[in-house]
Amino acid sequence: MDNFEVRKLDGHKAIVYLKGRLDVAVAGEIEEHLMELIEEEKLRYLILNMESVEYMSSSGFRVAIALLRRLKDEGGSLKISNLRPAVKRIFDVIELTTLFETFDSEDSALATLPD
Amino acid sequence: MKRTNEFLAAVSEIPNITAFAERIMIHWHLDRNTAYDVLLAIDEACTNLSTHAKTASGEPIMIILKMRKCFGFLCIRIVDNSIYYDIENAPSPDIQKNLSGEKKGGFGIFLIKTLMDRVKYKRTNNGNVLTMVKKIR
Repeated sequence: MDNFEVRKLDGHKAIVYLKGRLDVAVAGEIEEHLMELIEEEKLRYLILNMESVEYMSSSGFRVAIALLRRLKDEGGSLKISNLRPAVKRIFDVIELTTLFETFDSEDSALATLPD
Repeated sequence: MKRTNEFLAAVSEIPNITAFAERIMIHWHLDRNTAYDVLLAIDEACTNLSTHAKTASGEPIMIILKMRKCFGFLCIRIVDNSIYYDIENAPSPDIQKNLSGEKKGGFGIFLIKTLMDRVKYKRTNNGNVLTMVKKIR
């Protein structure tokens, strides 16, 4: 897929680099791929690095919520890092910043994951 | 520049719809936040039509998007031929119910109402007219 890349880390962790415009046309496919990845790699902790996401509609937010629900069910967590101001503004409007742990940098998100 | 266009209400058409609106807003030199809000509102309205709306006889749903600028406001009109949907009385999204999986979504209409300065819905003989107005900075 063109809209994300994955860097796997040790200990059931991975960083997902989302890219481009996350709208309804791509959201379903991204969700399906990432859910498969969680299943196959037995991932428990994900960081969504959104530095390259220039636009995100509610379809993208729904994917993030679905991933958060899945990882919480598995006893893990989802962190979001590097939100662009335009996207963060919409996160704030929907009050999703109260739902997700968001970080300014990937390193600061990584530092909160268990060893 | 063309300011009215017709699209099929389909998920695959959403990038074309937003690209059309974006071209107009670039042409008008709208500031980044205003353009983003308008783009998102158009996206959410057309996504709702593409994923939820139906017609009585099963014919395809068509969307006519019209954008115009007047007296410091941007006026966006979305006309479609689907059966009634009540955007004005749609409930606000419940984040906790979304997280538990009890309810999915509901953010689209909330975003439209929050990001636009005025939202008006009208049922006509042939379908629906959604008018969204955004003050231009």
